[in-house]
Amino acid sequence: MERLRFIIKRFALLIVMLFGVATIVFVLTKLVPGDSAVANLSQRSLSDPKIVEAYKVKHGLDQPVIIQYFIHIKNVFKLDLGTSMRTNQSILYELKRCFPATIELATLAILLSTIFGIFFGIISAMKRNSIVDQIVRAISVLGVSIPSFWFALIMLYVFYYKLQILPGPGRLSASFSAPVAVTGFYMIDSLIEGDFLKFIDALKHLILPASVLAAFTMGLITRTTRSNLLDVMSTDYIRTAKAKGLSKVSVIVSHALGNALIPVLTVIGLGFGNLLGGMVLVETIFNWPGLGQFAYNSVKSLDYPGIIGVSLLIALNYMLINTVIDILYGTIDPRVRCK
Amino acid sequence: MIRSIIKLMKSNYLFTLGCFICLCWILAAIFADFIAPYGPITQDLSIRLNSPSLEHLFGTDNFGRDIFSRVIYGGRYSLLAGCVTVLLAGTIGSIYGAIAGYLGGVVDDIMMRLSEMILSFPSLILAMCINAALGSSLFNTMFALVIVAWPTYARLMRSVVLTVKENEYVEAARALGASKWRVLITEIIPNSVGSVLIMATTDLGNQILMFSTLSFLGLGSAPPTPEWGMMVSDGVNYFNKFWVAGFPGLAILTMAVGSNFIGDGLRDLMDPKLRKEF
Repeated sequence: MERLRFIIKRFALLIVMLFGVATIVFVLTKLVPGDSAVANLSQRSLSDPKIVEAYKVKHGLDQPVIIQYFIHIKNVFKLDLGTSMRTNQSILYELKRCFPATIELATLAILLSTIFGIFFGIISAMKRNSIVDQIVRAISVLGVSIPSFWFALIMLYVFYYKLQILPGPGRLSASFSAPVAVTGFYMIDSLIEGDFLKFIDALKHLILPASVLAAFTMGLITRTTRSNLLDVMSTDYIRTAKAKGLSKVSVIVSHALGNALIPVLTVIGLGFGNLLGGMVLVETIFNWPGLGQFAYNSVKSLDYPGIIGVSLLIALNYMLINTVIDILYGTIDPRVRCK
Repeated sequence: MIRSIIKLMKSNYLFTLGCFICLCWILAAIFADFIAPYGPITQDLSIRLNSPSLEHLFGTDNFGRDIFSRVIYGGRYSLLAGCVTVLLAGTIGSIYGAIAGYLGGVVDDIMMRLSEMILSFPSLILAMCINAALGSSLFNTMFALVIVAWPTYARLMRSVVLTVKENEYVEAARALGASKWRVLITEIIPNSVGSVLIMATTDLGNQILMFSTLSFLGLGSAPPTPEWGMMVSDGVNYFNKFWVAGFPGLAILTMAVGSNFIGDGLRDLMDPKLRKEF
């Protein structure tokens, strides 16, 4: 019962936070210099004061800032995010179009980084100070240090331009048409269509951008797993387990890993949130029609409704992931339950 | 302390390598006027896009500027931005997170939700928006980076404090009559900074990366300032001339790798538990 109350409280807080994020977005748009009418209307329309006035009345810009704020909040909670100044489509439609591409890419990236990160972290901690440890540490450091925009260019140059073993930018090769949208994920949709070749092609297109995105989070997960495992291994209960005569592998798998992976969960959660928001560069370089590319184009053309929409969606995702992780924290670690 | 660091340098080669790389960059940034053979913005269109040679070690860019000289001067901007951001964001975030984790309850809820609001924002987009609001300059870019970076420290510090405050020695300090703030400052924060320290040294690399990213997107100083990110961005248009984007990218990578190696080594040094054999 107490647990249920905690979960309900956490989700109630989510709504409050969304309110806060919408407020920050509003403040940011007010801080950005420039007149919305100037940005939206053509030169011809701007020369007519009546059209400018009508535009301001329509969008509530003739109202005091506080009233504008309430209109903005009301619109956000009504999911009325306006129309993109760049594409002339509703923002909600644009987000729905871009979201699956981003989620597909981010999911593969986080899967890759989690599997390899935890594996490398355990190996590194088990073989502490050995040559294997040094190599793994060097790889993980390279992962967190490499500039993604530069890494993306290098990967394209090597695997697409020079070796020609992986496809270049885009979600599918030109010889394939996009699968009928059921989920929006090309891999799943092509399987639903029963076209296995298309599925393979979609997967191949995911490999390069997902690897670039995974590099950073994988490095972070490896380092966190290693350092936490080493921390846990020096505690009394592990000494007891070792004194009982258990093997090193058994001590790690049955006793140490559970506690060592708790902070890793936070890193994975934060990593997933960051992937969603941080793929601006990777999606742009790989011409991936997701949220990152939409955000980049919106910022480039000062499409304020676009910037607001994409920021709100990514923020909502991030908060949802954090909420789920907080709830999981309580489930797997009784020490922090309901705190 | 100095003796411990020298001992660490002898035993941990990656730490030594990190120190060496960072020291090289710091010296290069300080003595750029003496090391760089050409001016960072000196143009010579007759030698544009020349490949690396003895005259131009890293080749020349599309304006015929010497890339080696520009990379050397570029270190000044990246180092300054990274250090200032980490120092400010780390201090603000750690104090904030420690207070939230230690006090707990409603205060913790409000403080952490506030930091999560900023954290939940896509950091790059937030930094881009702040830059757009304030105008592009080195100072404004650093300000944007601090605003984006501090909540991560707060969250980490809070999670460590939540565990540390349950330890027996904290209870003992309380039983001895130490005040709430004294326990926080003398017992909890010193025992929690280890994680923040490794995070800060790792983050130095991250902040240099973030700074380069903003500069790559054209949100740093105005051209022709020799910023590494901006130089990689110049190279995107010359895909087959690998040196234009390649060397500035390598500079960012080595700087970030160096700071990460130091972070790893310092963690081993600061944490006596890790010195024991596994």
